[in-house]
Amino acid sequence: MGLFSRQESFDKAVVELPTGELRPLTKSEFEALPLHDRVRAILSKKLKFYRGVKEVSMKEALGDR
Amino acid sequence: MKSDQHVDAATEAIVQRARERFRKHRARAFVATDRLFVKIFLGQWLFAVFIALVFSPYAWQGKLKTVHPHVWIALLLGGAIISLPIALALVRPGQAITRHVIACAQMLFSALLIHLSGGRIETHFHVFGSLAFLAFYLDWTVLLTATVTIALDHLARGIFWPESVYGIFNPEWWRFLEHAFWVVFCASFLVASCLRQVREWLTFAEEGGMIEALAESEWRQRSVLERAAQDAPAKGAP
Repeated sequence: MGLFSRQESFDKAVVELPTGELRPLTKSEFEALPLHDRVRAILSKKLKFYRGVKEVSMKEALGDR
Repeated sequence: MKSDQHVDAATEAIVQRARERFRKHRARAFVATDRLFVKIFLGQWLFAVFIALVFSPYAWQGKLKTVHPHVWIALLLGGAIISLPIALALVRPGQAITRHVIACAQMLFSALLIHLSGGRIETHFHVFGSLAFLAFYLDWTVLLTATVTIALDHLARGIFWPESVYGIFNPEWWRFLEHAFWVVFCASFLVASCLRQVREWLTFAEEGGMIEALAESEWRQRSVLERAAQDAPAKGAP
């Protein structure tokens, strides 16, 4: 990691759709979703975050800004 | 289904609160900038009178020394220009009409100062400083109003009273376009900055919503676990 670089809290999110399908999203794709969809996914726990191959908790992914 | 209804209701409430946070943040900026311009207008008005007194304190009618018309122009026309925006800033702070009237009046005041200085080129810099202050609103439409106002002023005075705006009697017909170009050049960067800042505010408001959703989700999970722990000894008892 360079002197001025900052590790992202997550780089991938996987959302479970109502059909049961798992859709992977990049960080920017996740942030571009309507707020309503992001909040609903968090409340219904149909969302997982990853940094590389390692899963990170919702708290870690969303809390670090 | 009941659980889904709870989730939907919570989602809606969280999203509404995030939007309200964003709206209130913008409203605070609008009101604060309106109040700032009240002070700017009053300061400019005093400065305009001072400029008129310094540059052209007296006129001559034969042997009679009278106060130069510029002093009256600064006092009366300057007062007229700032009266409506100040009134709106006091009685309708934060409203769109207020900041657009302020933008228009600020450009008209720049025009007045340019006239009082006899079209001195350095006074034209007041226009660019004014655009920077108007950018405090973070409302790009205000910059559009200001740009159109000053362009029309330069066009009209360039035709009917060129020495008032350029200090010379026979400028090129397209000179107002040259001035307008630099105003648009400056305003375009300010508009981009406004849009970026507003997007940042929206992002912060939405992030607050997601953190609220996270807290709500954790509270629900803790509540379920606590209820399960309370129920377990009762079920296990003989």
